[in-house]
Amino acid sequence: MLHHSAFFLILSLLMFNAGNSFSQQMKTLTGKVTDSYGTSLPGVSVVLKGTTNGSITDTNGKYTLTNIPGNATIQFSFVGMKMQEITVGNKTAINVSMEEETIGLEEVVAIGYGTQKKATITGAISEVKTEDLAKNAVADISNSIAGRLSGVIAVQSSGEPGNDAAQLLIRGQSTFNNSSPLVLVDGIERPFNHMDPNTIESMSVLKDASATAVYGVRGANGVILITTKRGTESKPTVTYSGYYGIQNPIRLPSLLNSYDYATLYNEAVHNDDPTADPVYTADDIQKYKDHSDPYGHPDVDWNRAELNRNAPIQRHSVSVSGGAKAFKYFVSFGSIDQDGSISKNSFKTKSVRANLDIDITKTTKVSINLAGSKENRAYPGLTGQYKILVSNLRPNMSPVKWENGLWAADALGGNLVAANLESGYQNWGNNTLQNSIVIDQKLDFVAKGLSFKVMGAYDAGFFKEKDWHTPYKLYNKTSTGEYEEVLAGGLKPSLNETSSESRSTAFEAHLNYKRTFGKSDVSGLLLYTQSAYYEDNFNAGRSQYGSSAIDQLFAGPLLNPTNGGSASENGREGYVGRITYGYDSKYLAEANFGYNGSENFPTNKRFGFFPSAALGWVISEENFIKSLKFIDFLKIRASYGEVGNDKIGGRSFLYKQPFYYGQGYVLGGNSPLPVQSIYPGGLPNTMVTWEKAKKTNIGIDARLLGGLLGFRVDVFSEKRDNILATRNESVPGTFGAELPVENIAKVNNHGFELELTHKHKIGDFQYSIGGNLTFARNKIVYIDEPENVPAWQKRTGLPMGQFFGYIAEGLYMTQDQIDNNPKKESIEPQLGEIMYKDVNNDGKISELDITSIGHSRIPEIMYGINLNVKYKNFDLTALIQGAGRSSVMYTDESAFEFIYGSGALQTIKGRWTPDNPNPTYPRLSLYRNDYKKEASTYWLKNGAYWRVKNVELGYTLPKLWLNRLQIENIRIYVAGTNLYTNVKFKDWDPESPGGANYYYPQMKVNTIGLNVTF
Amino acid sequence: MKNIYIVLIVFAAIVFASCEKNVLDKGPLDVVDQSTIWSDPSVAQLYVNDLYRTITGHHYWDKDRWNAWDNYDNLSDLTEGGHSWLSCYTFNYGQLTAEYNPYGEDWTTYYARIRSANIMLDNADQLKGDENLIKTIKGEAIFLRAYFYFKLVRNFGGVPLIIHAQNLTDSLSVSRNSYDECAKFIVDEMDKAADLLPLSWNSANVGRATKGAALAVKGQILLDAASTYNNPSNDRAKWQKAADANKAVIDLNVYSLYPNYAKLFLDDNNPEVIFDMQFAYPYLITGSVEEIVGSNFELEPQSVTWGMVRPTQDYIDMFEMTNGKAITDPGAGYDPQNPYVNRDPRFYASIYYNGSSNRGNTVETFVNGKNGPGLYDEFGTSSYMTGYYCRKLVDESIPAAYLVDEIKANWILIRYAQILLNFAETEIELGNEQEALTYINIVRDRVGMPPTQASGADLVKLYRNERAVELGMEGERYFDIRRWKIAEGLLNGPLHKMMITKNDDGTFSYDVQKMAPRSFPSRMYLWPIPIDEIHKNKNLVQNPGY
Repeated sequence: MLHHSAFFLILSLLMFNAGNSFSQQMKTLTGKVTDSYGTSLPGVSVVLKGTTNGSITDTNGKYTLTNIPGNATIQFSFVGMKMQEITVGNKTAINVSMEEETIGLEEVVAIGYGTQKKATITGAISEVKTEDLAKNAVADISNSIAGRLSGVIAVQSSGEPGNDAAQLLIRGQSTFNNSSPLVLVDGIERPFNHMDPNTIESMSVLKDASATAVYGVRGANGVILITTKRGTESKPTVTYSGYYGIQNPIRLPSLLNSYDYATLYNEAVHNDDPTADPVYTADDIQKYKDHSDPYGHPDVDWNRAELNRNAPIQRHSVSVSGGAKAFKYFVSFGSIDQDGSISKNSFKTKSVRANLDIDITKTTKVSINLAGSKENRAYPGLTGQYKILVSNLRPNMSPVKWENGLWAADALGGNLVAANLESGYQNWGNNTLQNSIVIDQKLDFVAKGLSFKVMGAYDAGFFKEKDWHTPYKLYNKTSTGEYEEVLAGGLKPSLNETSSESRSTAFEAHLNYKRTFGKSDVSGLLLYTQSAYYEDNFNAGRSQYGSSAIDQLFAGPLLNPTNGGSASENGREGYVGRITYGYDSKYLAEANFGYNGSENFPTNKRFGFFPSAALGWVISEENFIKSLKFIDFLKIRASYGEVGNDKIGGRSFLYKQPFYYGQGYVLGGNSPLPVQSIYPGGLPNTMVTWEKAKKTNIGIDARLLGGLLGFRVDVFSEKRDNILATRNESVPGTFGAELPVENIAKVNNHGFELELTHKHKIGDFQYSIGGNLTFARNKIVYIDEPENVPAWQKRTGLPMGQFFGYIAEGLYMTQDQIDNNPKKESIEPQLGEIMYKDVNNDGKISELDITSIGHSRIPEIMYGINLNVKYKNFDLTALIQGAGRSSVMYTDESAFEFIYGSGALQTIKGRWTPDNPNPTYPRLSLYRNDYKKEASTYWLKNGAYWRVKNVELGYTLPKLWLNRLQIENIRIYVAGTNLYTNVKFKDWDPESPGGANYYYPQMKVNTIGLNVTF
Repeated sequence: MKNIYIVLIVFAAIVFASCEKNVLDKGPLDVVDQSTIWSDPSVAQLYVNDLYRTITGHHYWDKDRWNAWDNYDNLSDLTEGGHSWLSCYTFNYGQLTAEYNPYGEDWTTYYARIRSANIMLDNADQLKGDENLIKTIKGEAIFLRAYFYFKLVRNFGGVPLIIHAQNLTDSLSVSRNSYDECAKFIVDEMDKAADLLPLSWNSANVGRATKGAALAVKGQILLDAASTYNNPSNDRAKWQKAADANKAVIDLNVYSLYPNYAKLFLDDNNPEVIFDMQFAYPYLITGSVEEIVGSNFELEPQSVTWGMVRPTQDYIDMFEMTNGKAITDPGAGYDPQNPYVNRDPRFYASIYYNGSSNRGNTVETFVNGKNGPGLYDEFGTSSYMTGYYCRKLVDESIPAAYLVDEIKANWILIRYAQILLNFAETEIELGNEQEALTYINIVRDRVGMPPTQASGADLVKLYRNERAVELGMEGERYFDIRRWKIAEGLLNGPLHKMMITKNDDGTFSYDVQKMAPRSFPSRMYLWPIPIDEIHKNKNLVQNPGY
């Protein structure tokens, strides 16, 4: 917006000068205002600039102004349209055609180390605004992105408060190593997940080499730029937004009740050994059925017993912004308070931010950004228990409590519910400080259009974890009816504390040049940057506390205290350059380079050069197109360049042979002690270097029919090589050493993105529909595979993460099939077990028949459909988000009932029995897994899904009501996040980590919210 | 212009404050450089300390594979693992294949440690200083490398002998050496180690390898090499070598049988121990053997214990009556309905049975009893309940719930009784029956069992029974039945369990029942080399049958 006003300021100044030559005669002015289709627009305000003198167009769009001086400027404004200013001059009639404001030709977008006008961008960049990010009632911004940005693949595999970030992949994956993008907040690498979305002005995603080459060795995975809000020249504006919501798991698996469990368990026992006695007698089963003995024959759904229904979440955010000419400010405070779905599990943050801009001289601007945050995560004391939220404990294991209210010990000597409530706590606290100062000095006195900018930043993080474990009492009931105490969770209380501190500094110096010569726009950038990071941590613990009265270190005995610590550091340095040239806003050219170094590579191989170039042609500026009225804007752009990825995975300083200290073996007769030891780490790779990506992008941006239709298409292709991968596959185990990763693997990645928008307004009814679709498919071009592996088991040529398994050809339904189908040498199949395909046709089933099946876990397609509707004071928005071409493999409990003594899914009721002609699940068994449990297409599910990610209905209170209260705006809304999910398999959410239990389910949230502006 | 100066000063301040001169001049803050290790024998000793870490006991344990908690004897006729998901069932149902061996990682684990030992021995000549220290750390490294080969050879047969750390430029497609070459290598190396190692260590170093340990491992590998599976022509010279080697340990006159058999496993560093893993609470090494001992052993169900070593009825039947007669002997006085009276004292020291006591509580292994098959059938283990649990190594002074935290017994790898029995076996095979009986009876006498006077085939049978009773659940039986080549006969068909029902009058009925049949195809005398190793190295020849 800043640039917006500056533009008009300059425009009106020019016009003011031009107007001086005209006489100061007063006159009457008339005219008609229409929209871009020529339809007359009533209600347009027509004002003499700088005065309150003005009028409003009538129902025919006509107006009349009197007493207008000749040098005057008239402003035409209407909600949703771009304001127009027209100098009167010697005209007596001015007809105006208004344009939709949202087209935003002047809109600027954050790019690497600067901003650029959207219209002249030649790279592939997509962006999302704060309003959209704040829509979803989620604590982690990464969960607001799916479906809103083209080019971003997002997978959220957990709903654990504070730890539920989605994995973000820009244009999919091109490496086996770290594929996550570089995320910069106001130009500095910082965690962004728990930022208050109300403090974010915009989020840009830089996708092609042209956009990311300036980040050089860190640009290959794409870059996300987050820009925080700043003050503008205006009166103080106070904004409050907040909501309160309730959370519930999107999906929980349906488990067998005790009656079904006992019946089917007996069936499994019988299947395994027809002569065996049933484990559950008819009497047991009757008791499970009629619930007549709830303590002796319990029936517990452990997920539901443990789960908090309707766990609350609330977010509040207050900001003040405004400013005068030389001083602008944006100050905000935000908080999240989220309860987990299990006991004693919560996530809380508080954050503050102050962004200040001061013009200390006419040519010098100082910007100061200060931000701080405080995060807290709390868990039950027993570390393992809290994640077993989606658990599969069997229903008849024990009651939760005995009839007298004592906690029951289950057969494992535990009790999930009691453990979460009474085992102490784990608290994670994370405090961060983010400070930066930027000074921007115009150097027009040296050369017109030249400026110099420096930025210094200092961020600090303080992490503290405190784990307090307390024993708790459970009870067994003996055969004589007495309660026998079982202590769980350790003998005595224990405490472990971890504390770590991180410091990072960053420095940048920019030399910028920007000038217009006639029709030519030229800009240039030269930049030096460096950053350094240091982190250390230590931990200490004591155990055998005499009592649980004081949960502090000093209060424990010095019997066997533990302590430890470590430290690490890294540094980066780089040079950046950029030249852009535009002729008549029609022909655009750009060249970028990054020359970066990182400490992680051998001294002679630290710096790399990463160039890129891009061209653009704004066809709509050509005269032969200008005459075509339905085309508002049309641009073709193409880019090519090389970028790197230095997140090479594995250990740092790979070029050195490490020897580590360890606490190893115990020695010593009467007073044994662990002795210190030294052991060799993996072999060094003295040639190690970064991954290199060659990226090509071709795109078209278009807006048609006066904003009714907009689209953007990008086609991209990437060749990534030098990917670090291990050669282990072909080095025999007898060599005995962990081989270093080497820059040997190659992956290609290609795909396209599509964005479509349609906006329209019919009377008071305004709506827009937007859709985006991303398709990205990768292919392994080279990895080191053993020579003797059969062709169908090679991973080369397939996408990364491709599933492998047997091809299931249904279940064995007849003895004939058993007799005539190939089978394993070691064991005969039984009726109702899975029939595998003999892929290599050698007449038997063996591991050689395993082949590639389905897709990978990461979807190749991601799409979103946005809907915005406004009618009078009501507004409605909706986001439908989906993914396609991915697979989910059912494993463990999902594919093997009763395994690990667990319960089982209701799905198993469709099992094979001699009388079931259409089984949907194999024969039940306690231990037979040879024709069942192995990965096969039987257990591979289609991971495609779509979900109603967000729906929000708002009502803005009429202005009349508010004027007296001096309130500018009040809007109330109800919203839902993850309201409905459509997927082809039962039991698990399509984004869950794998088709089995032991994870924290994702949440759906219903909220009510309020936005107020003073 | 004044303002410009202010700006320039602020600029300069930011530049100086933020900019670091050699920002890339950084290195790892957590590693040691190799040159420091070989410049000082006391640092090199730290390197040797690490080599000990791979030693595992009777339980196979790998911290990354939580379901590999098996006792080796769960693969034999003595015990059951009791949980269908345990790795032992891959073996017990005869399903070991080149594609799937739950313990196949042994191959890479031991070769990694062998490489580590090779690095030490390749660099040992650089060491200068304390000659005595240099001598012993060389001895330890030689001992440990040979011990790792011993562990490999016992399961895989002959393996490639790699005695220098290879470089990537070397020819890595090594071939297997024969079993006899490997055995000879281990014997020669143990001789070298025995020359370098002391008979005993000062108290701070107890637990390191000794001369006795080197000679005992040599005695065992020579016994393995002389046994039927590895010596099909019954070459007498091999037996003689084994006899001499085991006798050499006896003749050291360092070791003696500990008078209290039950306490033998709990009273650390007693004179019967030849080589063990030291361990004591609270120095728990997370993920180590010690951590899970407690939870493997002991009864089920109890909190944190899993009862993963469950003696079979076949094992229980091996315990003689106190009169020295087998229970099948008509004059033994064995009552099948009162089976636990007057048995070999080692029965009471080794086994929890119905009616025995555990920490003051009565053990109930009857149907629907506290520790028996019935409703609390966690992990589907009822059908694997044998009626018995392991008592050896259980320290009842530690509350059952805290075994994981407080287990402290050392983990004995070789003890003197095994050497005495080894020697007795060689004497039987060499035809010196009286000499054999002398040593068998020394072992029996320690627990008060009457001496025996068997001969011929009866003596072989008695000796093998005696060895199982004495060393049961210590992990030797699995190796014994393979080297004697009798596993096929024992393990093709069902083993037995004791089903006990409590009668209304409080008495018990005992009924021996069959369990799910075991299977032992003849290929399983040796483990397969993991299939991917075969893929990677064309010169590796797979063991027969895989």
